[in-house]
Formats: sequence, C-alpha cells, structure tokens
Amino acid sequence: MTELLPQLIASSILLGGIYGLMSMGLTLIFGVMRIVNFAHGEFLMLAMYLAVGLAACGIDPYMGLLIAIPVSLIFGFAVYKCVVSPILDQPHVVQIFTTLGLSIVLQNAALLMWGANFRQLQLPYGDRVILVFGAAITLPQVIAFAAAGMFAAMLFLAIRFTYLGKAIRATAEDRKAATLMGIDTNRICLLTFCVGTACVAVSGVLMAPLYATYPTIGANLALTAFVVVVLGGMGSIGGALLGGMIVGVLDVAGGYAVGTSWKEVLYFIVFITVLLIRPTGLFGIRGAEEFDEAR
Amino acid sequence: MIRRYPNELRGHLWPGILFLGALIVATASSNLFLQDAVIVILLWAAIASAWNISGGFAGQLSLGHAAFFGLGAYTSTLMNVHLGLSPWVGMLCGAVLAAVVGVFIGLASTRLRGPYFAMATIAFAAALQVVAGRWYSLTGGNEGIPIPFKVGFENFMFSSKFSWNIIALVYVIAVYSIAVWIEHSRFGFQLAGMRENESAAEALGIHTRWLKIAAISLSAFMTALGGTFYVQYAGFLDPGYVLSFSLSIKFALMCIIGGMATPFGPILGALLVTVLEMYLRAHLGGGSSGLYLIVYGVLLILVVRLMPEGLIIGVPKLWQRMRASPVA
Amino acid sequence: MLDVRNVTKRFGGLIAVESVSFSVTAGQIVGLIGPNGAGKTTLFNLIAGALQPNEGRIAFSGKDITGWAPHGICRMGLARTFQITKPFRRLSVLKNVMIGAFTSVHERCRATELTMGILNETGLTAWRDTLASSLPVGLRKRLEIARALATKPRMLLLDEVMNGLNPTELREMMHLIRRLQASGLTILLIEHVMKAVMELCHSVMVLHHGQLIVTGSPAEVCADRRVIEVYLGEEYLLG
Repeated sequence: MTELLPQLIASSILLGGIYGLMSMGLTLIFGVMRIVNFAHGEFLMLAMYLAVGLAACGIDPYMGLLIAIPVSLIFGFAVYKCVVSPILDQPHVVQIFTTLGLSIVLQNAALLMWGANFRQLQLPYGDRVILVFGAAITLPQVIAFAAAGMFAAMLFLAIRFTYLGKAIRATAEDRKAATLMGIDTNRICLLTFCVGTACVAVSGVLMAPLYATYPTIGANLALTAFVVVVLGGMGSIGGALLGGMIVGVLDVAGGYAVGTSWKEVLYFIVFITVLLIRPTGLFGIRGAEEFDEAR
Repeated sequence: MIRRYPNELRGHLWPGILFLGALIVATASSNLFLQDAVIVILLWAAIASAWNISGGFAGQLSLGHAAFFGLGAYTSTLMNVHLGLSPWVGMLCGAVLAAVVGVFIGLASTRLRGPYFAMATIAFAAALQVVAGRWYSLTGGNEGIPIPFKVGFENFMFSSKFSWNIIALVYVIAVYSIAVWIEHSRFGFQLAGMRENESAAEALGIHTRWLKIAAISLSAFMTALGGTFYVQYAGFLDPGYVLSFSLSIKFALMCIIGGMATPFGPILGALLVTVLEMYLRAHLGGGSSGLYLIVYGVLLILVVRLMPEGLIIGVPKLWQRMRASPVA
Repeated sequence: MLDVRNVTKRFGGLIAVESVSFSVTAGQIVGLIGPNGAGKTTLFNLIAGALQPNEGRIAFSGKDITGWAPHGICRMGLARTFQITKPFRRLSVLKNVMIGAFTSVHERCRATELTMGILNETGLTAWRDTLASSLPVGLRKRLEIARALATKPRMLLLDEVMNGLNPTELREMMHLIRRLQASGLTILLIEHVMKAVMELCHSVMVLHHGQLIVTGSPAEVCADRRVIEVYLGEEYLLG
C-alpha cells in the first residue's frame, strides 16, 4: 500500500485541482446570482466537444483555449440573455426547471448532432509519463492542474483587488443594496455568468485529453461539481478549490477502497451529508438559509 | 346538494368527464393500443397527482420521486420473487417503506430550501439507483427482474386490459380525492400559507416542519403504489427506468404544465405530456435520444417561464385578460 | 402577562439587544419606541421566537417560552405582525385570515365563521375576495392584524402598524387597537408615530442601542432628558 501512496496522493492533488477549476464557474454564478445552474455539466460537455472538434482540425487544445475562451464568452452571453436574465427574480421552481430544461435540450442536442459514441482526444504527447517521487503523472494532468491553479489565482486576485471584483462581491452579498450603491447589477450578473461559463469552458478543454467525451458526460461531471461546490461552499472560489481537493482525495481513495462501482454511492453519501449538516459548506456564503420565500 | 355546492362541483366537471371517458374506453373499446394508452395516462395522472402533494401543495420540489416509485416497485417484486407474497401485500409494504423514507426526506426538506432540496433528492434517487444496480445478490443488478406471470387477482396480474384499466382508474380517483380533500381542509390551507410565506405561516402557529414531513410522506406513499402497478403491468422491473432521473423530471413536468397545487392540474398535465410523448415518439424518432426530448426541454423552459402556475391557472387568466382588454 | 428578563442578542460582534428586562401587565397597551436601529424589531423577533436570545429568559403567561419556535409561541396565545407585511400574496384576504383561523379552530365551517367575524371587526369584509397582493399598504397592515387575530391570541405584538397610513387610516387603526384592548387583549406595539403612542399607550419603553433606557407613562417619557437627547440630540436639551 505504501508504494501506492505517492501515486494516490499525486492523483488526488491533480484531480482535485481539475475538479476545483471545473466547479469555479458554478460557484461563482451561484454566489452572485443565487441561481443553481443545472445545465453546468452540459456546458462542460460542450467545451469538451469543442476541444475534440478543434483537435480534429489539427489545432492543439491548449492553443485552442484561445478560441474556446471567446466562444464561451459569447455562448454565455447568449444563454444569459435568453434564458437566465428573465428568471433572476423568479421563484425557485422557475429557476430550477429552466436550467434543468436547458440541460435536457443541450444534452439531447449533442446526442442528436454527434451521436452517443465515446470520443477520446489523443494528444501526441499525451502519453508521456513523468515520474515524481514514485508517482506516474501525465503531461495533460499537470497542465490541467497548473492551469487550474493559475485561473483560480487570477480569479481570486481579480475579485479581491479590482474595483470590478468589489462590485461583484457587493452584488453577491446583497443585490438590492448594490443597485442602490450605483452598481449596475444587471451588467455584473451578465459579466459573472460569462466569466463563469468561460471557466467551465477552460476546464472542459483541459479535461478533454483526460476523459472520454460523450453527450452524457455532463451529468456525471456535474455531480462531482455539485459535490465540490457544496463542500467548499457556494459562492467561494477558494472553497471550490479546496472542495475540489477534498473530492479528489475522496475519488482516488474511495476508488481504491471500495472500487469504482461503489464510488458513486460514496459521492452521494458525502453530498447529502454535507447538505444536511452544513449546507453552507466550508467557506460558503449563507445561501441555503437566505433563500427568501414567495417572491 | 348540487344546488348548494355548484362551484365546487363544477371544478370536478372536467376530471369527471375524463374519468368517465376512461371508463368507456375500458368497457367499450377493443382497440388494444387505445386501452393501453388510457391505462398509461391514468397511471401517470395518479403519480403526478401524488407528486403534486409534496411539490405543488407543500411547495417542496422533489426531483427524486423516482426513488419512491422504485421503492414501491422493488419491494413488491422482491417480496413476490423471494418470499412468494402477493404483490398486493408487497405494494402495501412498499408504500409504507416509501412513507418512512419520505419522513426522512421531509426532515431534510426542513433544513434545505429550493435548489438545495432539489439537489438532495436528485442525489438520493441516484444513489438508490446505483445501489439497486450493483447489489446483484438482492436485486439482480442492472439486468432487472422479470415479473412472474401468473394470472389472477391475488397475483396482481391480469390478462385483459379491462382489469388494468379499472385498477388504474381506482388509483387515480383515489389520489384525486385525496388532493381535493387537501385543498379544502385545514391541512391544505396551512400548506398554502406555508408555501406562500413560510415565516408568516410559522408566526401564525403553523408547524411547518410537521406539514412538510406529512406531505412528503403521503406523497411518497401514493407514488410507491404506482411503482408496483407499473412493474406489474409492464411485466419487468428495470432499475435504469424505474429509478431514473428522467422519470422524476417527468412527474414534476406533468404538474408544472398542468398546474401545481390544484387537484386537476396534474391529471391534465399527465394527459398532455403522455399524448405529446406518444406523438413525438412516433413522428420524431424514439429511444433515449431524439428530438422529442429536446422538445420536452424547450417545453419545460417555455411553460415554466410563461405559465409557471400551469395551464389550469394560466389559460383562464390569459382568457380573462384577452376578454378584459378592449379590442384595439 | 409577558415577562422579559435580561435578554441579550448578539450578531457576531454587534450587540443588538443588551440585557433588556421589562414586564407587560395583562390588558395594557404598552409602547416600544426608539430611534431606527435601536433593536426594537429584534426584540420582537426574540419574544416571538423568530430569533433565539444569547442570554436571558422570556416568560409568557407564567410559562417560560425562551427558545420556543414561533408556531408554539403563537399557539400559546402570543401573536405578532411584521414590520414589512408578509401577506400570503396569491391568496385572497379571506383565505389569508382563514389560515390564521385554522390555528385556533379545526373545522372548516367554524374557521369560516371566525374569519368572517374578524373581517367584520377589522373592516375588511368588502375586500374579502381580493388578492392580498393587490391591497394597498393601509389594508395590508390591517390584514396582518386580522390574520394574527384569527389565531385567538391573548397578546399581540404590533410592529409599526401605523407606518405609511394617512390621517383617516391612522384614526381608524387607533380605534381598532383601542377596541382590541377593550375586548381583553394585551398589546405591545412598536411605533414611530408619536400621536398614536401618546394617545394609546398606558406606558412606554424607550430602546436605544439595544438598551432599555427609560420606562414610564407617555408624558413622563416625553419629558425625560435622556429621551430627548436620544431622539433629537444634545443641542435640544435645555440647561
């Protein structure tokens, strides 16, 4: 078992970073707009397909990020205008089912357009393994992890130290008050949604070399993202990263301990437990308790 | 009596017509397809009504009701296959089990609001599905369980569609009656207050925690009954269907389209959704992929945005507004 | 009837209510006044069970209700209204009050009877089928009271029910409160409208920065130096 330990640790950390990046968009959107985006997984799935598509055209996915980011910003803009902004102040039932409906539409549209086959993005250097303290890690994993860290840092710093970041934090804390302070909260929400979507897109592209791509992968990854966000706390970027790490450890350790088939059950148990015991997660803003009634 | 409660009885006009129609089809029609369609519609109408008790009347949006459906299906089937007990007994046991589980879900709902509760229920049903799929020794795993085909009332297995129809009709009328009772009872009024404004309701002496638990538990009980009916009728228990997320969404969708917190809404919704589904599947390709699911999704978004209270309330309102505004 | 002892409430580092003690005798109308942010509504929330005190005890009708949930307290006979009204928006006025009525009676016909009586008493009969969301402010305040009355309370906590009323509505509201007290209810009200406080209350308490600084008859309180200082500032003190 001890020979496996470095491998387990390395895998956990790398996976954790990726999970963290994947969940940042979700937590950011919730934090600012208090909307749980049930279509989060589908956004991820679309980004993965984009990466696969770009690779088919001969574009390296990491270069492809330069295309993916603007595309995702535009996509986020479109989705926000058409679907999200009308439901910002609607009761929960409307919000839940709108994003759920979007998820159904996107998932099946993908199924229709690209079929149910699994696609795997193969990178010429993707198989290169580096040995670190007895743990074998691949280059795509490292790149994904590094990117995760970098983006998290950038986001964190931007939100902490820029004026825009302050506006975002103000809107997250109390949208009405922020409006009264002269902040254009509509634009902040739009911006946040686009940035959140871009985060998801980046993580999707980075994950494409690591996972198989198929239309329903969104559902699987979304579950992980939700667990991460609930653990780390809705609305906290740092929480998403930390939550990602914890889930990464859970994933690897759990997979080792109970096997991959029961790993999912472990996820669910953790998820429900955290929801019940500490719905705000480790660092979250008070989201669960704060939901006000019949708007 | 009719003269004393004209308004109240008028509300039962349409459902009454539908039930009567179903009865006519059951007795008079020899078209197997039509009879099957009616049975399925009645079944979904009943289950949607059951979901409505927790989702509509109590305002607790569960997206994991397939868990209760599946519990009912599995309990009766396993008790039948392993213990030789009549599915009727199994059905009752399954419903009671679901009600108990419902109590716990109800407790969760007092801690979690809105999307959090929805997520928890999704996770719960999904976990149940995984367990059912992997626990080979108990449940036969993902392969599912075929229902023993022994015709007879005590075996809950019938050769003629007529019997299935009657049972489905009894089921849906039962749930409908419960919904009607809820609407006019103290329980229902307090539920209405709770879903409109929970803190105000609490300040008026309403024990919201008990209400939620009661509503969800009752809803679970009624849903589980449908689970047993379904697998007996279909002849096969498939965990991939019976505990699936898409089934949970379907229950909710029917209520949202038809109208939540009204007794007739889910029935109307079930009728529309099932007919739509049959039509789309026939014309746009079936299977789990397909255009018809996209139509579902778009429909969901549109209905929930434009008529969040469902057609039952939305259409009359629209009608009134159109009549009230002078023609330009 | 109501006995509050050393109740303190902290929100993190902020002390909203500090060691407040007072008693309300049965059958009286007591006023609670103080500048904005003094902690009046917080105190109400503590008494009504919406918040739990960090320290102190609250007793109603001899029973210790500290830490009780709001619904239990209401059932004991202590009802409250909210400063920002919380009507059941999509329901009619009749239904709103019925929901309150069902707390004290269980059968529907008796609840309807009780409701109609209360609608009559509060002058809301004409609006009984109107949706609560379409009511103007004055009527909403009355609906809040009507709903609370339907629970057959022995004591009412009224939070700024005069807020936003025009002079006619104000007079009507004051008549209503007097009638309620005459019928045996004990009333504790938070108010900013001094006219109401002066004319209605048997005694007045002044809250400032979470502390109870003065208690006395309306006349005494108005003349008190500390109260003048708190409301108007030091410049207004004579001498």
